[in-house]
Amino acid sequence: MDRKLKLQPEAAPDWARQVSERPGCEGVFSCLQCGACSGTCPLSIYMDFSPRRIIALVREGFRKDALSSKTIWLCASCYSCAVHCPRQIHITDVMYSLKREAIQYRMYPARFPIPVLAQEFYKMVRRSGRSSETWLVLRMALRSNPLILLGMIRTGWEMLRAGRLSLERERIRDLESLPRVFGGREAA
Amino acid sequence: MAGYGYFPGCSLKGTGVAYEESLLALFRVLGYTLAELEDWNCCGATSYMSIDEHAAFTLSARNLKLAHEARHREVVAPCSACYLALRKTQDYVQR
Repeated sequence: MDRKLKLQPEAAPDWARQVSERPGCEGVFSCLQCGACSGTCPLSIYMDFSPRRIIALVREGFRKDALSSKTIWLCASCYSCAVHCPRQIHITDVMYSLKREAIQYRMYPARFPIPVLAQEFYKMVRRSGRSSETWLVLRMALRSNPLILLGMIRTGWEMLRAGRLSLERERIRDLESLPRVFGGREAA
Repeated sequence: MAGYGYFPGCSLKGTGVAYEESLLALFRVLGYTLAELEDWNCCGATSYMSIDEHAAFTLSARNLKLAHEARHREVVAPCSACYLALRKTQDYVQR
């Protein structure tokens, strides 16, 4: 009897090949699915797909599932997976590549704060050359889900009292050098 | 007294300020001076890499340029994300 995976009609093998040709993503087809990455990942318990499954989704061409996953945004870039991978796959770089594509095509999960944080961070540094964490977190919350601020009030207040929240708006002096750094590229 | 260039990064001026305080105190005891990189900018780590890889590297390249101009032979970047961004960029520039 013919057995089909539920998702098979959505598979895009061309996309899988494309991803594997991007710098840093070359190794995806040599993945053994051993799961060393998922085992060592400190955040995998919070992920909707473990890193091993993300690699599996990528190489089978399940673009939508990979790009709209929370996993790629929960990756904290600790590089533990890349260190432990027996095939030396640069898994963190694969995650970055998927994040960039998810931003480009607006496929990240709705109301999920981390992709919003990344975009606000991008804008802030483009404007002032540095990030100011307190203002950044506020912008992230206001533009994704303001309710998360309620849960932060206590910690925020205590951090403020301990001098760990700076209200300074950081910026570099030589702001004129920024357009050169960005090479006249359009804002994302 | 030997000295290093010092790249604090955005976190060490914000939520990571305790790390900066203890680090500076430690270097004083050890007898090394840390000269903060004049007009440093965001290193371009994680959040930047997630949006624009090219800009992430050019941001770090500006910091390396500042370090070069200030004639720092070596730069201390205590934040692991900053360290990685600067180190990766240096590697790509040298290649």
